[in-house]
Amino acid sequence: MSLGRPLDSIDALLKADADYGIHPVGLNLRHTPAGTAANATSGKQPMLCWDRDYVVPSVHADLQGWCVGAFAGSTPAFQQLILVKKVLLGYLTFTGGAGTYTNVAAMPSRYHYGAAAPSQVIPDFPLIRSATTPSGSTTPTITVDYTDADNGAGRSTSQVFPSNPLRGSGFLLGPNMQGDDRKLVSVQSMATSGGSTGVLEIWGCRMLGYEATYSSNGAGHTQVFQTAAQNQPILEPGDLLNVLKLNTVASAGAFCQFDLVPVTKP
Amino acid sequence: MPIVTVQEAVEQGMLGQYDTLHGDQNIRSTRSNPLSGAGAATVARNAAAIDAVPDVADLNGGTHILLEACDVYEQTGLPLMLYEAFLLGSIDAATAAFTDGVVAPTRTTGGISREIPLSLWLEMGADMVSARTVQVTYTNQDGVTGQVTTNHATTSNAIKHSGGFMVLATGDTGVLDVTSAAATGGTSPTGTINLWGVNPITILPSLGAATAANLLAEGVVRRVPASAQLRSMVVGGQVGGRTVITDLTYFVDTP
Repeated sequence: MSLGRPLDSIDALLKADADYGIHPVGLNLRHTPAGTAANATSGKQPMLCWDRDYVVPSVHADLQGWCVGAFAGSTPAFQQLILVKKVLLGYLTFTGGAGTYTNVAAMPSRYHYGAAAPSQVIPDFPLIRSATTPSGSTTPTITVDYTDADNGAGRSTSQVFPSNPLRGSGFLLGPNMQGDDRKLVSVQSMATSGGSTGVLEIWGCRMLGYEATYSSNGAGHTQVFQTAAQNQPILEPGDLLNVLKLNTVASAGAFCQFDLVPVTKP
Repeated sequence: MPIVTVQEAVEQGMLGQYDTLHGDQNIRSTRSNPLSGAGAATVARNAAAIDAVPDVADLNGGTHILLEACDVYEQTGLPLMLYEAFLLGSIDAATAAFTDGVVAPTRTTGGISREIPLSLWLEMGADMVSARTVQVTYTNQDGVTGQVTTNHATTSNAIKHSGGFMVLATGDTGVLDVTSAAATGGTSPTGTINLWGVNPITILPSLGAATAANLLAEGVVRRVPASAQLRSMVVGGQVGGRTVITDLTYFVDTP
């Protein structure tokens, strides 16, 4: 099988499995915490991150990596689960208004499925996540200086983080970035004024699968290639995946499963 | 030769190598469920294994089946998960004695032969008459031995086939083997607690009515050995209800 469309055909999926074997993954999800998190009242989109990352497994030398073929999830209520490729861009350690930012990585350049050359991976969901439960109850103002894929370097946003954002909670930067920015690709600095003591991470997340669990106790199931993520970046061994849960700060058990489909080199 | 096109699958059917599993998957109602704390585990109720997995002799030389579609019914609108089950171990609830089971299967994925990490599901093998707290020692997805789950408390009136997914150690996403287990607490417990490894196939939405799922059209490609134990569970709820998988269709295949 050569790299190129359409892997979304049943034939291509059958051949990929017959030739190399699809990798099934099932994950018991704990979206912590149960309690106060970033909230929507301040115009923020609240969310919970899974309490651990899934590490993409190794692949044969003849192969380029993986794509996500299908994604399914179950939650105890109407919720939205999003499977993402996560990149930890950096983190801010702050104590009483003074903070130190540590830069970790920029969004990488990758082959995207069906493309002949690598290109910039652009996160659909840049977000700030509370990596520890801060002490104190004040609301820190977080300033993020970043590079936007459209408007270039030197962009900045300041946002008030909710009080007591327990570990694992966060909010999306998207609605509150400078101008119409949505496509953050790297972060140059983070700082805080006021606030307590804690660690805030900034993630760049590229959506790989989306699932709306649409009944009170329902599940959803999606063939990824038939929906939104057809231009997904090829996953390489060691990449980190996480499962976000939007529009809620309630912790509850959830389960999801997805298939990693092998992709040959171009 | 493996089936690699839809046309080949159709030809298999025309040659009479297509068959239907008529599963008797009437999942028992659950009135209580083991749960170790809000947000910690996914509760579920299970079905017996599908009895109609074909004998190898019926496969005309094929060694595997390729799942095609299934029809399910769930009264209460809860989702169902179809999965491949592996009994990693069990616990005598009365004596806390652990009996070792199988290990995770070795499959070729991404061109590499390896063990497939499984989710760990704790199931009541009988109606419980006492609470128990279960902790399992396992080998994680990277082959690290001696990993330990968080305590999982079972309720005193959890009934047969109810259960919940166990919470693994921080950072762990799967289990390759269960090496020991402990059960503590309770008063005069009886019965068996099963420790299942779950290799998911798909999660099927149910709207309180019969639902037909074309697995291949949804991007779910699963070749499983003819000896596989396929099961289904209702995920994410513990209310009582009737659940039936009426049939599961497959193609005979040899990858």
